[in-house]
Amino acid sequence: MPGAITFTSKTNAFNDQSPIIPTASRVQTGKVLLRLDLDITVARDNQPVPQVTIAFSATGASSTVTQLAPTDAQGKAVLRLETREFGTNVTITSTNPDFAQSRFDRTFTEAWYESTFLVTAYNCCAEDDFSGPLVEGGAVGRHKQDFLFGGRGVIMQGTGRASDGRFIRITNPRAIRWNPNFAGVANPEAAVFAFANGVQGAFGAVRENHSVAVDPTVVPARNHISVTGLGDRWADDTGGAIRDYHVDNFVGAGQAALRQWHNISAATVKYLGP
Amino acid sequence: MRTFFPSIAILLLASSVARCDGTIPVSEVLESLGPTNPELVRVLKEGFDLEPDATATVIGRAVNEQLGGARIGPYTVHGRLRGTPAGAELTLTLDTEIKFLDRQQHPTQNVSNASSVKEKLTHIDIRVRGSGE
Repeated sequence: MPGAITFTSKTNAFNDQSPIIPTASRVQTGKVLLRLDLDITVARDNQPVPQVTIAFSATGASSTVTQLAPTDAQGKAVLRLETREFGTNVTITSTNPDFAQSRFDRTFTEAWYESTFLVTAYNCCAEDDFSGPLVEGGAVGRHKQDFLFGGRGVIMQGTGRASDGRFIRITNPRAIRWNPNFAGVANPEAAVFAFANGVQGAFGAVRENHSVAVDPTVVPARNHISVTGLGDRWADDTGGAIRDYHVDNFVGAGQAALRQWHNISAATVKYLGP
Repeated sequence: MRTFFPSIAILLLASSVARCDGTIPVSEVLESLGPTNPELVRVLKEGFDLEPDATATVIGRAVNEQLGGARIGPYTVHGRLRGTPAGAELTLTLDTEIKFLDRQQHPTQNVSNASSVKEKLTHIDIRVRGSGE
């Protein structure tokens, strides 16, 4: 008589039955690694089957499924599924013909990052926050000197919002030289500024309270996450200094936007897919 | 104060407007700047109750892809002298000497060519946290 296996998702550390994204894993081909542990119970003739290890397979080229130890006296064991299949159905079946009728189906639509994230915030500079004299900025007209050329201005950040609401970017940052000890720009005449439609992130336009900069080996580019305490965010930006489990939240232009930041410094993050 | 912290000049002035471009945990700032000026960092750790986040300059990704998102000084931190009552809020500005270094670890004036940045804590400016901040 064929045996039967029952599958039950284990409750994770976040108190639900979603998969987790292991801390040591990294994005591959744009996909995160999902890990789901399942309790299985193996029975035959309604009796538990102890001390067996059963072979399983799972759909999806990236999927692996492993029974972590033989069944115990009650026929129970833990099965670990690892897959990069997100948003498509994954089916686990036993390759042992005695148990081939038993299966587990699941479509993953969310997963918790196992690691907590460092959460910081950034803005882009706003001319209204500056107080320097007006200077000629070429194609973008006259603007405050420290807004264009200061250490916290367009020339260091790449983009800033002018007092008239338009965005200005530096088009040739490689041509800029700084004085020793970072004391101002040595060759302001070399800077070429242009108007921009907004703040451009590495993967798309950056919008306040929508976009975050992340490490794309942790969160795939442009993908959707939910940050506890912040809400839904999209991975529109990155930077060489944003590494590992770090969400840098874009809050908009100017000091006022950053002043409203409420000191979240660590948070759990849920992955919600492309 | 001078008995304990002779290296600090405390300026009890109305706070000026600061333009702050990104946050960073104070613990991270103190850890990275500690070796560059242990005495001043000790004063900060032992003499003040600091809020957990500092604000700092952010290097734009468009300016330097490798260093994009990095925080550099000056760092602005809010807090109060340890043991003083609520309401005596201060704004501390941690000024740093900044050197951008190229791949050969030579100082470069071109931020876009830098592969790393070195900072040394030089001094701390302390002001009363004001309404105009």
